[in-house]
Amino acid sequence: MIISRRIRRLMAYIYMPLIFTILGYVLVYIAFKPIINIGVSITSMIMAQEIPDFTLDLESIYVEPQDMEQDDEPTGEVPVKKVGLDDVVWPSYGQHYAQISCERIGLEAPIYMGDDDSITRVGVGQYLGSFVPGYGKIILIGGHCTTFFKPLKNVKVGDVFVVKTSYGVYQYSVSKTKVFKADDMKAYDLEQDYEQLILYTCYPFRLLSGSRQQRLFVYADKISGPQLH
Amino acid sequence: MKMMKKMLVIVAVLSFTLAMSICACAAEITSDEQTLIDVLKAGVVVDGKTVKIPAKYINQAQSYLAKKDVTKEEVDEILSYIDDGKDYMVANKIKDFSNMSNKQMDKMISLAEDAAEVIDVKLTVNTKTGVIKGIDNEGNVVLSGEETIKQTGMNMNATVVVAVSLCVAVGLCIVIATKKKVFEA
Repeated sequence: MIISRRIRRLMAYIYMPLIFTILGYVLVYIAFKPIINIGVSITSMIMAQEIPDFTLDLESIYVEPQDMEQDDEPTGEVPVKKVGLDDVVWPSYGQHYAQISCERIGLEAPIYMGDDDSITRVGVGQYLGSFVPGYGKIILIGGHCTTFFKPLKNVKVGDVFVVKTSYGVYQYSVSKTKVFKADDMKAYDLEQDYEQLILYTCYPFRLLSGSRQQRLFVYADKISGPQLH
Repeated sequence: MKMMKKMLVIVAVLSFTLAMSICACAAEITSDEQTLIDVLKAGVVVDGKTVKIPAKYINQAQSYLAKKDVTKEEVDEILSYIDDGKDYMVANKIKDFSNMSNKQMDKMISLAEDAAEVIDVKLTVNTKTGVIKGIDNEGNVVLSGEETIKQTGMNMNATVVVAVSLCVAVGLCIVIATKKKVFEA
């Protein structure tokens, strides 16, 4: 009886701390889940003995366009050049195929086809149900508001986005920005028959902002770049 | 809602598979492929009501057609599954996918899988979310029924809740300890 009581007391010094330790880890995980991946990435960069490769599963078919004429000051009067579909390597899901930039707001990001978490962690993702530059239809691209698309908070009407692909360089001028709910289908028209670059990211940009049901949409119309035919 | 999404995708896939090909040939839209796109856009007429395929699936089909060719034989075989699907929907008066019975659902899924097999595309359905995906024989995702607009920011709600809860718990402990004079020597 006495021995049993001693053993029980002894066990209490083991399982009680264990329970609280596990509970503590669970609480920390829940609390820091949004930034665990970022933390691990940063830590591995500091602690790793070699440069970590976060793009093991993502390919790149992007080739810096050579001898592509690009206006320093877009005038919208550049003659339309045509590129055959035969000359285009159509990107598959998960492939890096273009680069997007906007000098005034300091935005620079790789564009991947597809938009799952593994992609938006290393670049900006194009919705699979939209089209590539030059096709003459909607180009819908999403990115994180805390990383690659953070500069969008400073975007203004008239800003020019440059999209470089292996088959041509495209310029798009921002015509408007608007905030919609994430599930509001009035924010975009997948059936539209004119080319428009639509960028979206979570809104507002501050870290603590509730459930983030809103998105900032930036609409930019094509002003130059070859047409696919 | 999830069931409706799932069934919309199945109908889309039945038509979408017309656009797929096992042949990685020259990237261009042929007249046959354009006909397929037109068929996709036309939708299905059930009791005078046109049930349209969502534009996101038609766009994915169009993008796929731009880089793949489809042979006439494959088109004909897939068209037969498409026609079966249409006939089934008309015969069973399926105008609202969310009201389909399990038996109807199984039939439509079966037709979609058969059509996809013609062009070596494997369909997977997430039973939790109802999201359908099409994977080609190279392992590439060629069809995705996921939401158009994704989550693109950190959700700190759980963090805030846990932090506030811990603060409240610590505060309570201090109050209780003070009342019980734990800190007094």
